[in-house]
Amino acid sequence: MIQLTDTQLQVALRALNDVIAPALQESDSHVIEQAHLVIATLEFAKQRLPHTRRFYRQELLYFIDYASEVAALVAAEADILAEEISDQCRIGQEELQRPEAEAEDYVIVVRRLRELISSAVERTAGSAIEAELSRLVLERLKRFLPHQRTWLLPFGLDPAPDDLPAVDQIVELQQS
Amino acid sequence: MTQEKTAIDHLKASDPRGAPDEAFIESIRARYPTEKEVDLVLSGKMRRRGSGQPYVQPRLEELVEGAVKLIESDLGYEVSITDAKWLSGGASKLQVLFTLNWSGFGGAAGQTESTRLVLRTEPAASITESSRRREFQVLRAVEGVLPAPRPYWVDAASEYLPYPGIIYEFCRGVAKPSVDPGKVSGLGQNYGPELRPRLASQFVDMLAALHTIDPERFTHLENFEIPRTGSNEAVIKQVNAMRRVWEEDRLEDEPIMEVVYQWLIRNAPPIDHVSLVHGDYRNGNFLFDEATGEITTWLDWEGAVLGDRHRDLTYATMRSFAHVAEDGKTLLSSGMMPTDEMFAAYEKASGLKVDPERLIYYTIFNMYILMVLILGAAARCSFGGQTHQDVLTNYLTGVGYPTLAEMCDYFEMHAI
Repeated sequence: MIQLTDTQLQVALRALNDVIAPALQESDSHVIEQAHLVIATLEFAKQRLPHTRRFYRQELLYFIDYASEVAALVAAEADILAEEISDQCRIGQEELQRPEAEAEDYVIVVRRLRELISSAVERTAGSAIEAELSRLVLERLKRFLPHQRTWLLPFGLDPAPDDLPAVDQIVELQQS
Repeated sequence: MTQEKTAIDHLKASDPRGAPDEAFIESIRARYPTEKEVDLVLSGKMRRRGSGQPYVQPRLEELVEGAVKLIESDLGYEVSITDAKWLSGGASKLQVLFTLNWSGFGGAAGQTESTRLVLRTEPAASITESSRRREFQVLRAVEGVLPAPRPYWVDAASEYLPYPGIIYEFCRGVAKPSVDPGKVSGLGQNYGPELRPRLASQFVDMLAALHTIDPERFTHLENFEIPRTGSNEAVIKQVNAMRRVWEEDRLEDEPIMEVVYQWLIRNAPPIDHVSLVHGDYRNGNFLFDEATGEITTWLDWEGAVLGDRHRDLTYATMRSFAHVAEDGKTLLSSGMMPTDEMFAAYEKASGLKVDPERLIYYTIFNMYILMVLILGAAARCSFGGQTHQDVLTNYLTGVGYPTLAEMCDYFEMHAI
């Protein structure tokens, strides 16, 4: 097949940047704004598409590790929930082993793990482990936030892009 | 031929909020009680989403036709609308500028006056889901207190328009100065060293005037619950409103949001003075006359609440809306002045105290609100293709994670 997705984005961006956007100079401001936002959106897709599967794979790896820690912490307070979290971690591991798994398959498991971790926070509110779990959630988020921020860098809205790791770094970390 | 489902189909099917049923809506309502009108608006949003009806952008002619019917139903005589065009600006509402040819209130057909008006209506979903009825009432309440569009008509139940809408006065002025015209939604808007001092004093004085508004004017606010001084009940309802939006809209959870929510409920401070709170008071949300530096209009009143002044104070001074001055080091809150100076000027203008403890609480609350709106509502709008500004709401998610990082740092320093 001669056609690559990357080529489609490349030609669309060329037309938008070189021909369409300049021709809109006299248009209503919301038309001009949306044209520039379309360019930013396609640019995001072009830059991130080659890394997508690896990014979400790393995210799943990270959340399996994180959720396992949560499960261990809440086991005494909420054993059924801890079991649910462990089950989802196992499903996540299976997805990572499945060669044909796609980025969206990883996202589905990560989203379930995220929900379960939040449930753990809610259910243990006021308990002896509340403070420890809150600190764990905060610390884990802070560790992963640079990845999330790097992923959205093509939008150009991050105030400190130079402080963030390169996309190659975030998708290569913690190989399974 | 049946097409095999793709991974993205499976991902969409796994979204419990994509097509909520009545039981799902009711369970959220029960868990996070809030003000009655807010409840109505949020439940309406969920039911529209649950109906599975795709968003169809109304045609300009359709909106004009609806506006004519709305106006005529009130005036009792025929009017006409000319020069209608889409108005840019804002990430959440559809706006049309038009000329109304009419004979004024109490007039008769004959159309001797022409008035420039704005129709502000909402798409099927919105980053800031809100009540047109409340927006209309708050604009009535602030008339003569600070510059804001004069409200004319409201169609809160979309009897005449495709979606609920409000018609108000078109106000002169620009939102962005010619020195820095490129900011989307005014985030980090820089007004430049010439205009800045002229705008800054009005910015503070108007906020003080709003917060010390005569409580007699609360009678306009029929669909607002008036908080009791000394109670935190209203604060908890406001936190719950946001928690509810998070529960309804998020594509994926961010567990820190539950940690922060628990903290906000547990630490909600009682209100010491009931203020009318704008809710989105910042650079980019007012119009001004570039020649004179006069603020001509405050916009976007849809998030207004009766509550604690510190909510506006901490919102206006959020890092996301600030920029560094020409000296390369001074951070200017809302592009106006350093935070400390702003608070000192506000205390002087309002006679109200700025309480450091409440500043911490409302800084965290405002960060939480931004997270709900950006990582929750904005992401949901674009994912579901529910607005005329999907490309903008999608783009705005780019500020979500830097702001989340800011919230984490602040929360760690002050609350955990």
